[in-house]
Amino acid sequence: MIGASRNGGGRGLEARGLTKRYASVAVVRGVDVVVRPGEVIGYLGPNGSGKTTTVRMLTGLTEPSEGSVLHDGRNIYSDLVAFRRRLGYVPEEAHLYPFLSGREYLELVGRLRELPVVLLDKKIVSLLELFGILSAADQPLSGYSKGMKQKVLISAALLHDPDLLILDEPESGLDVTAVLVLRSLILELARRGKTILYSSHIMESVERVCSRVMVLHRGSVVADDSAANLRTLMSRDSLEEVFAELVVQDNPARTASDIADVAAMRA
Amino acid sequence: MSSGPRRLLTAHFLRRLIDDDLISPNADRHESLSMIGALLVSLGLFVSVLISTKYLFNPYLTPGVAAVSALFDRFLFTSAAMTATALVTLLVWDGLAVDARDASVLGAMPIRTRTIVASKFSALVRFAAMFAGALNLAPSVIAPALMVSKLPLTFAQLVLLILSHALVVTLASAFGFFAVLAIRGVLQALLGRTLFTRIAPAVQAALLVSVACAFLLLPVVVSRINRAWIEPQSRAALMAPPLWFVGLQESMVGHILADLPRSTGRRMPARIAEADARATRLYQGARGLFPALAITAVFKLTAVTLLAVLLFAWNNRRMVAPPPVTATAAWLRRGLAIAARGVVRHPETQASFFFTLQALLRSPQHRLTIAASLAFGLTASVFAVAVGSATRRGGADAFAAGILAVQPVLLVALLTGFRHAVRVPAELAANWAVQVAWSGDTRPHVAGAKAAGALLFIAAPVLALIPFYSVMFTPADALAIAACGLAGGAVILETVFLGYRKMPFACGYLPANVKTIGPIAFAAFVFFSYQVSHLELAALRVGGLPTFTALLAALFLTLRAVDAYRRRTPLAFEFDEMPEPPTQRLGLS
Repeated sequence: MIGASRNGGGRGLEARGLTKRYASVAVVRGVDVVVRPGEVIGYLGPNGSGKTTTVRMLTGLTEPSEGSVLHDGRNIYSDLVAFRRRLGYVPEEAHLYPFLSGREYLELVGRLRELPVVLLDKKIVSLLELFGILSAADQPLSGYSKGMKQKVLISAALLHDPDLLILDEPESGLDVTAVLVLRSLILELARRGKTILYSSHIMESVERVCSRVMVLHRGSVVADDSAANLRTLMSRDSLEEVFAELVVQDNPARTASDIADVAAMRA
Repeated sequence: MSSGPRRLLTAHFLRRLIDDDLISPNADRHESLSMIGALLVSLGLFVSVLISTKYLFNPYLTPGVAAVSALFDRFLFTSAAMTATALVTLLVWDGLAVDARDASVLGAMPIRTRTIVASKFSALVRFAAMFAGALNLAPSVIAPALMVSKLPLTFAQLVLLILSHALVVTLASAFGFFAVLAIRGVLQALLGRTLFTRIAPAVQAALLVSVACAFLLLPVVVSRINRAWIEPQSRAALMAPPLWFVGLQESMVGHILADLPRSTGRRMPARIAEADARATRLYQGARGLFPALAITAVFKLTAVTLLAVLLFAWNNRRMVAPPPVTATAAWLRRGLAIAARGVVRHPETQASFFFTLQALLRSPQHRLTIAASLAFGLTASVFAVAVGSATRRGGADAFAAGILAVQPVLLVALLTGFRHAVRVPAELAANWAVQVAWSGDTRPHVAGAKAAGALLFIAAPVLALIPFYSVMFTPADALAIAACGLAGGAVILETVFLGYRKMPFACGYLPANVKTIGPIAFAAFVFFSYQVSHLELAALRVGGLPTFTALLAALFLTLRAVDAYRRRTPLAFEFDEMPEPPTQRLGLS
């Protein structure tokens, strides 16, 4: 199965009619996601639109109230462990074990994924070196900056060479150089046949690396096409303008002015 | 600066001390606080009533006997107040200074550092006062009232006794609190921030074990010291801080009981009159000590308070983030890893093995659990030896059995604590990493955790006890006892993990039903330790310790086989199982 996917024979990730309700309130409604091997899908949406909930359903960390998630044609819940063996995931929040060092955290993840010791050691050193944090490898994660933690998370997601990568705001906290490396990395991984879902707020990144863009608003998909097609269809110059047209209902300049007025209030 | 920010900051620090440092941030604060408060008040009530029985059920309670008995009981109350407050202060050890979070959040605010430091200190004092209040309130009212209920006291005298009791136990609590704060301050001032940050967890654990042992051993210690301290020939006990406060109370109100009129209107039997005269003589002989003890109490409490305040101000004079903790030496880390890989071969078992060691040694919550288990184990060991030496009928055998009980008692306490520790998540928010990466089978993980537990809580204590047993018996016997300890420890480890079905350190924590399980576990603990030590002694006397060890090893293998059978297929479980809401637990919904 893994071989099939790595040779480009897999069917990638398909989610149909994903719905999630919390106490009868639907935070995600009937979302369809299809990502083929070699594709990078950008997943956009304002805060509270249901992006992270969708991502957690796609990773199997949250069970959907309705709908199904298939990976290479199989329901992921029929064998969640087999699915996760092929999944690399970078969560939105960098929650790590603070008392472990970066190296120890990667060793933990690598061992859980049953990687051979020699290979694991080699991969850890190489990844930490390439991300520029090898000198801090043995420091506790509690002392890491947000960007350093993010690099550890990305390294952990790549350790086992997964077929499917789900990245939830992976550029969060990264410096400019690291963001450029990350963009190139995503393109390179897609070229090697990986299936990639890329959730982000940074339009420029999404426009540069994603072959297709999905926009989520209030729990529903409001657009699903290539960035170029969306621009043409909506007669806009950039993806940022398309996004604003689709999900931004207030006038940002007016809102900004109102905020400044509130800040300037006197007793 | 107005008092507004200071009040707000004090409330904020106080809330964080309770929420983050004393109670788990994921727990229901109201429920936990109610439980802690109820526990403290009911414990105080229970102890007060229990102690008062000797006054209530004495048909001929005389002033002399009451004065001496009250003296002894006051020692227990001041000791309990002092050690319990020190213990709870140690539990919030990390919150006893302006920390990195405060520096990062409040450093950017237009608030003077001294306002932040004063607010933090004020919050700490309020925290200690709240605890001391809850602990001492019931005994302050109940104990003096019951103590003198059969004596001809005026209402004013009773009120005086109650107020003096309340004052003295509060001062004893303050001494316990400021002593911990002063120790922390002295260490930080002497060692500097970097070195102190490194050793602080070890210091906390060591102090916690010592104070917890002292608290648990209070009944034994108090009864021993009470027999001696007012005798003129043994005044070494006067070094004990709780006695200073007893002296303070006696200086204030001791005369009320001792000087009560002896004639109560009915004829006193000669035996009772003699006992009263003896007790009165004993009390009058010790009376000269009280002023000196009172002065010592006032002087030392003032000194410790001043030291704690000054060092708190000095150590927190600048709000700087603590220096990064330096890494474990690479050679040591690699050496340990290579050694462990030789023993634990499966990658997932290795992951669990190393993670268990890291969580137990580095996570504050888990370190506390282990420190508490060690304190309980050490206390129970002392009890076992004390009971053995006090059992006259058994003679040398009873003493030897008491000595032999130390090993199983310590192993059971540590392994039970370990079993509890694996149920507590190492970092709840980070559990997703384990969920995403694990293979779907808990067996290698449980095996890894057990291997780490065997290393830390069987091999280490058994090896540490070899010199003790070499002195008490012979070196050859000590080695045989150690082998027996290893086999017995393995049996205990397998037993406590028989029902464990989850992922160590990576599942949500559901509190166990302590009310049901606690007494059963305690009874099993006492029974097991008693039986094993006597069987071990019998085997030792006839040279059959290797046979006994072989039997334990066979039992271990049987348990292992049972466990393997029960786990023959991977078991389903929930990582994020939620506890029932309190209303449901109480049957209200």
